[in-house]
Amino acid sequence: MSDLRTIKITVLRYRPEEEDAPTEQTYEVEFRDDWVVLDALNHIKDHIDGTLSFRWSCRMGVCGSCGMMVNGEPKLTCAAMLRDYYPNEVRVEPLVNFPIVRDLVTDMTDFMDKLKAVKPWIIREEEKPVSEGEYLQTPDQLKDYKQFSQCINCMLCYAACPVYGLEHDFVGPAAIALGHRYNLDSRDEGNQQRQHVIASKEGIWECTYIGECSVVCPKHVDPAEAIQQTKVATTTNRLKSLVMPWGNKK
Amino acid sequence: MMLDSETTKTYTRPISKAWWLRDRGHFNRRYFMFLLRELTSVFVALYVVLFIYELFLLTKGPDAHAAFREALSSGPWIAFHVIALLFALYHSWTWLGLTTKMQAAGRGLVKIGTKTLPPIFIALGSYGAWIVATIVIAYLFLTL
Repeated sequence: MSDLRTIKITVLRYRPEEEDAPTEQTYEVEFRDDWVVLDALNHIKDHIDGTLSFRWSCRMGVCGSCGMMVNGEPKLTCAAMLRDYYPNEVRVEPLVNFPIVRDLVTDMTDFMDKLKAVKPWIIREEEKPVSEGEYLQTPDQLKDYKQFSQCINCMLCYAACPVYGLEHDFVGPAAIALGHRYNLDSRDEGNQQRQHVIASKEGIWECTYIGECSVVCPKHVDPAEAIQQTKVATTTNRLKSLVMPWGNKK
Repeated sequence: MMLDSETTKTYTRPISKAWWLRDRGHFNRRYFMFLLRELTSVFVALYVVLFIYELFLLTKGPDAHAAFREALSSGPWIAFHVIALLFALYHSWTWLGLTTKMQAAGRGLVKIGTKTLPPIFIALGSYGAWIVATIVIAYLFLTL
């Protein structure tokens, strides 16, 4: 169906140089059947109101830039079809739980700091020389962490997590899932270096398992699963080190 | 985008105290069910207090204990016990359901050789142990 239909898009606006608090603005957008919310925002910016600010890049659910609240739910706007909302109006807000910089753009500094704190890269106690070749891995070893490596840092899980909203110290779903991804990697030896961040009070133990992070995740990473697995693994390791203090604590 | 917090005037939206009922105009069933699960601890705690008080009355002799048992058979107390039971069941059911999370297909913690034990076994084990424990306690309670 290629007929044009008109949908109302209400956008939360915040222009710090003009106003102290966000306001709303409603646009009427003619859309085609295959348009997503991001297409409507781009249409508004190109043809109706060039002052509207928002982040986007790839339009295909890979870059993780266009996460926003669509009718109260954290969504990648490049994957939210307008026809699924029509004839009702669509309300677009910046991701909640993050400060708003301008319009639909949020300040992601807190997330970036937390991501860096879990050291999401392969850590070796000692690097072997290049001449010895790659660190090999079996398909089963890859399967252990592959799902958690699909995270695109879109931060929808942080917007969905009431714990993060209420306790900003919480390391949060994506950062823990990514730390867990490297802890599960057979080539990695950095578990101990990540533990003081991941297994702390502000880490896994802050999570009360609401599970909404996994519901909204566009890449099916399942951060709630990563957190629960880490809780079990951490507890088991602690018990082991109590019962067998001479054992390998890695 | 990294910001200089000294020069950038950002806006932080407040969180409503009723976020678990209505979040930005929408009812999210999972937020509500989560808070209900948190609430279960209140009923479990009340029940434990009641139970400890009953144990205490045992030291006061059979008459004091019997009078308390008699009082417990009134309508409001039965209603309280039914509600506390429902909350305890809901808490146990969701908590045991959580155990399967450590065992998602293909990448779980419990392995046999290199293969992951399917999560259904964890679920069956958890719920099975719960049911068996309940039967054993019920049997001891009803026969002793």
